Amino acid sequence: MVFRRRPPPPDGPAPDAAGNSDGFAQEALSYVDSLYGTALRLTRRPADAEDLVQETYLKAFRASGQFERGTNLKAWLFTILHNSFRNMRRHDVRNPVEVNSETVDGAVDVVALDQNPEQLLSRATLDADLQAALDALPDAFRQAVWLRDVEEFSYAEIARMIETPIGTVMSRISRGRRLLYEKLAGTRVGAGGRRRDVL
Amino acid sequence: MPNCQEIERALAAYAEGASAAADRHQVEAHLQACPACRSRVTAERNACELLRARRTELRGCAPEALRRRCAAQRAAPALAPVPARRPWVPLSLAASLVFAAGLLVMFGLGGSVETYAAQLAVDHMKCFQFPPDGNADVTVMGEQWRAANGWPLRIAPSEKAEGLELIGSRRCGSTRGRVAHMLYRWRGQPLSVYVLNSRIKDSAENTPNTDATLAHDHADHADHAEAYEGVRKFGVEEIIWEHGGRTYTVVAQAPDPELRRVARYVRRLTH
Repeated sequence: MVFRRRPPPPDGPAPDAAGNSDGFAQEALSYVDSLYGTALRLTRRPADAEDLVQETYLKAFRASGQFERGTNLKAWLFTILHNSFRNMRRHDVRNPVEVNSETVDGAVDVVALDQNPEQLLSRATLDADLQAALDALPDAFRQAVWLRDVEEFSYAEIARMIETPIGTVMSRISRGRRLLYEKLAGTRVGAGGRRRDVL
Repeated sequence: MPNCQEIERALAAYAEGASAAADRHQVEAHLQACPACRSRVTAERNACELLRARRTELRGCAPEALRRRCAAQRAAPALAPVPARRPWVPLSLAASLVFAAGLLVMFGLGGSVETYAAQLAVDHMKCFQFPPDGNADVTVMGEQWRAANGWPLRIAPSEKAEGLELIGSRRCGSTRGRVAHMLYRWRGQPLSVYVLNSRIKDSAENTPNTDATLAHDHADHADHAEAYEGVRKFGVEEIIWEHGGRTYTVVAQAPDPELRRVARYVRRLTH
């Protein structure tokens, strides 16, 4: 792999040790909340998520010369984050990589469709329920849905990030959303006896 | 007309209202004839709208300390040919990192002193590029460590007579957080103290290399010179010893005898 340092723009801000301009660093650092939120969903451990985000920035600043100005910096950082996460998982025997596509094959019959999002939003406990339902999704589906609906990446960007064909990404998003909704609806029904667990 | 399986990939974009016209017509034709897929689209659309409405709350905020540490990494040198600005980092840093990463894959946390020492040497070189912030109160740091990691940690404070200044502590990234890392400045140079909450051979995930594991028999003799193992890795010296079921390591770029003196100070204050 060849790393090339690009010269700073003639009238641009002074670069730091790695040649990062202020603009690059400021924009990169503005995504720390997104990166941390995503890292938490990936690792499920705050301390591991912090390590992952810190490693992402270290790599990003050191390899900033590889970033093509004018392209999506946020997507570039997320790609580094996911690559680092895959390495972390490979090295960590506590966390074998799970891709459980079959789990939701039978989960397409939705329990309750009688509440729209506004009605669900009115519930005081929604955020906690939503977090719990997200956390309960199989990793592959949670990751795809999160990157699309929370972080607003395109299907193509997600496919590159997680090294998965775009058709599979679309399918995972579709199934993940349905499964999420079913879990929320099931939570709503609660102790009334109509709840159907699908996992 | 496409069947349910064939239409599935188009549902995500359709539920968002982001389909191209041709795809939209195809999906709508299918939905007219398929109640099951109509239910699926409704559920998917609801979930999508819900997630997007709660985007900010779901994303949350990064801890302030993490924000500062990330910003501090701007100072990291580029991966391109690195000018020799940092005297304690060997020129072969990149090669060392690659080599150590290979060791990590092969041995996990390590089955031998050699492997463990390699991991710590790499972490020592990495961590001083972005030292931890916060206070250096050893009691507070010890309590924070216990709360976060579930085992008590005694930290040797700064000591003028030794020329030792405590900078802070953190989890060691190169061992996936299983080791406590205390960072010091010693005679103007970086010095690390690591504590692993087990013996090296106990933490090994593979068959340990018994020839290379430490001589535990000496470990309880606090001032016995043979209790300390001296290892040189990637240009730094390491003094390793075990006590009370834990493994302690002092790392710096310094002659072995001088580092042993620091090791004895650390041992006196932490055991």
